[in-house]
Amino acid sequence: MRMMSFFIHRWIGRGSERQAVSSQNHQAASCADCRHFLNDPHILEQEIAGLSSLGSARASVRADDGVCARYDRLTTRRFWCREHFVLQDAGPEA
Amino acid sequence: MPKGLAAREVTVEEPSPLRSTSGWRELWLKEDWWAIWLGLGLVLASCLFYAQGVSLKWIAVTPARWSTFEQLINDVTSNSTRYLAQFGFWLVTFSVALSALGLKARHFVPAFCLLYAFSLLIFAIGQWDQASRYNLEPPLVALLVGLALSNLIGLPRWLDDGFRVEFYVKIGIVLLGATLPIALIAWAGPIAILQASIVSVATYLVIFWSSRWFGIDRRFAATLGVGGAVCGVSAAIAISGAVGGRKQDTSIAITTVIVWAIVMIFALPFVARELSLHAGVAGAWIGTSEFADAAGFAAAQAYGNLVGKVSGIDGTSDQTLWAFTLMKVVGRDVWIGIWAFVLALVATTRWEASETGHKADPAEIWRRFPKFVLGFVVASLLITFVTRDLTLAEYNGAAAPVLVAPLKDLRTWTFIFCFLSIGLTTRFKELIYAGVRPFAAFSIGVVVNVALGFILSTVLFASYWQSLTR
Repeated sequence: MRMMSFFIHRWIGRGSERQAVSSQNHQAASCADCRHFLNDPHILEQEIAGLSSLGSARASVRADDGVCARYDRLTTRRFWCREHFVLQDAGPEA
Repeated sequence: MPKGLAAREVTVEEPSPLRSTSGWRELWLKEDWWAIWLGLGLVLASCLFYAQGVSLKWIAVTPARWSTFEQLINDVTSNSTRYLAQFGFWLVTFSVALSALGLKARHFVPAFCLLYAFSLLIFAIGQWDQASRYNLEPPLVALLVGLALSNLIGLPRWLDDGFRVEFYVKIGIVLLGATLPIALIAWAGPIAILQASIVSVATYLVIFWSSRWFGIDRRFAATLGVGGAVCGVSAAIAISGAVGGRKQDTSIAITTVIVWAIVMIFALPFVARELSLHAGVAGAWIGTSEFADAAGFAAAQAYGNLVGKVSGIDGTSDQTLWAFTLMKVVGRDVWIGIWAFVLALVATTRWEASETGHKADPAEIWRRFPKFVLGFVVASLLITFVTRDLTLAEYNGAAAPVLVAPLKDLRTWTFIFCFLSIGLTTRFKELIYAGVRPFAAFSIGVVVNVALGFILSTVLFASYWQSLTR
């Protein structure tokens, strides 16, 4: 998998400057430990209309995706952004 | 205050926003795995009982065929103990599974009592010898009863904890694996993958480019595209997460899929019946052109139930379900991880920037793999292994009635729970989320999908779908 990832990213490398945000320090600051990231299935099924009708927030296909409360986007735990709020540092909202 | 969820109060008791369900934890925190545990548990139990010369038939009770109301009452009362035992079995096993998934047993128990009572009623209606004359097919009746209860009477939302559409359909799919020989999966699987791939790619491209033509954002267009091309709501939520789609767009994509999926539950079997399509061919077409597993099984089972009751329809009811399952599950569902990885790659390297970013990871292919498919394959392997030394005549005479028939009956129950739950959780007032432009773009894809699926199923690959036999 790592090998495959390496070659694919080498191949598409020339487009990487168009990535949304800088990847600097992203590994230390992914959505997984951000206070804005909500991935509780209850919350997702309440917030996304129709999800529990012909789908489910508890299915494997969702993996660990959640909603970013900051930007109102669906993200995986591995996303990152500049306005990341680490849980343990969570103070008053900016 | 930031916009979005945090700006509103999330009304969930004790939310655990950062709980991981990856790795080993997935084995008890994802419904796919619980479908495997329960489905394969039943298949294993059936194999063990068969080896001891007994059967699961006692607990797999179903209403018998009837022509007078008195016959029906007599049948249900004389088997009341068996129905109570079956109800207790479902209640206990589902309670354990759904509690592990984070749902509340105090919500599930009353919901399931309601679900079982109506399912028994719907099952009994389907066993009436005049049912097909009045189009009273259990999947369609279940859907209509559910829609009426949720939209005309209105049920409290907490009851949804018992109306788990995906959970029930996945258990049914694992049990369905027990009726499908592994050799048949190996023989017809590649054809299913080829046909499904042609239609999926064409449908995705049509919806994506139609959406772009309507001025819709690329991430939203991709979410809509896979919703129509791959596995409906499941695909929409997976791809939206992979590409970082907006929450509101995801809701719109999902409601658009639901609207068309409900329409297709009625439309596809109706058109197939008017054209007297072969059972296997109709199953392949429904598998190519329905948008969600649960909705597709409702349509396929409705058509399969007509075989032998309506003149002009050749084949067997099994062929409809087999062709549908091969096409939908093997041909479309299992590829969702690859769609997610490729689109995540494209989104992060080729599309316009968004506020958040990530690096596409090939491990997503496994993370998003619909694991219940493993249970489906293992169930097929188990039954194939147990019956490996039997001739077809021995299988039909000795093994099928005691080994496979109870599993088929239990599968029928889980499908009825599923079909009823679709209606009970579909609230029309929530479907107003579907916007005009996304709906139009998706509808163009529907036209292409249905037409292409029809041509491939009835012309190009028809001979394969007509010859699906054990």
